Amino acid sequence: MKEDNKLISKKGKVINETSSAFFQGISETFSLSDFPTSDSLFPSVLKQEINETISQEKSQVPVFVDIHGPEIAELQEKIEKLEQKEEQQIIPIQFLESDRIILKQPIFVNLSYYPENKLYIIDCPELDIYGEGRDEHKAIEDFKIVLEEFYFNLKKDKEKLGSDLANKWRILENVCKEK
Amino acid sequence: MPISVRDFKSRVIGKIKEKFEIKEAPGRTHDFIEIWYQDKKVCETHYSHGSEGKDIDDSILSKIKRQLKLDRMEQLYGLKNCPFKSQDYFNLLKEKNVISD
Repeated sequence: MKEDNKLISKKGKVINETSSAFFQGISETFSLSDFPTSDSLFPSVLKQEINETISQEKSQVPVFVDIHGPEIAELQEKIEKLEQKEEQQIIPIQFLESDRIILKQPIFVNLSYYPENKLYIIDCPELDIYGEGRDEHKAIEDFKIVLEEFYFNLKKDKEKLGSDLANKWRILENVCKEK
Repeated sequence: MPISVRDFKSRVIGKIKEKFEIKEAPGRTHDFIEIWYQDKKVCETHYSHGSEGKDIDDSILSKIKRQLKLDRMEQLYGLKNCPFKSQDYFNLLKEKNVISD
């Protein structure tokens, strides 16, 4: 609230008498036309230079540098994986068709269908092995053979396994048993 | 981008061979490829006999990529086409503690 050059708050307290009077004095002395406009601030030569620079920048063809290529590729892969997951089913493998080993407990694996290749894939990420086939049964059958061969491949070198394969051998020992 | 079995063996595995010892173990339905370093078996991958003379599809290549401990398909294609050198692969396995000196 403003009253007789005093700024007064809603509660009636005088806030700033001096500054209020000062601003009124300025507005009485000057009008808006007294202040310099952009035309008077920039001489015409400078203005022309600015315009030339702007038009030069506009006419330049931008060059795009693909600095995010690898990151984009990685994101695309993640999207593809997520899309694949929607079509994935988790199924148990209860037994093996082997005369050398049996399963002590079921193994849960991912079954996916890839329509572009007309291929079913059984995947076990924990053991890093997979089986494939033109139908679900062939893919399961293929996976069981791969599992058995992977078991004996690791067993023959079990004293010489790197840390990652040693972990997989421990998993296999827990889920498989020789007949 | 599929890779032929021939290219996979000669170029991808061939590149890995520059730093590691490779042993092949033929199986009933899949051929296994073992990667050895300093007398330790560090990685193992496999591909189906059905792929012989054909291309290995992307769906299978993504499993092979994981078995080889690669992070991206680009690296697998890079091993085939050269930008990803055998030293890069060696460094990657070292970073992941798959191999140690």
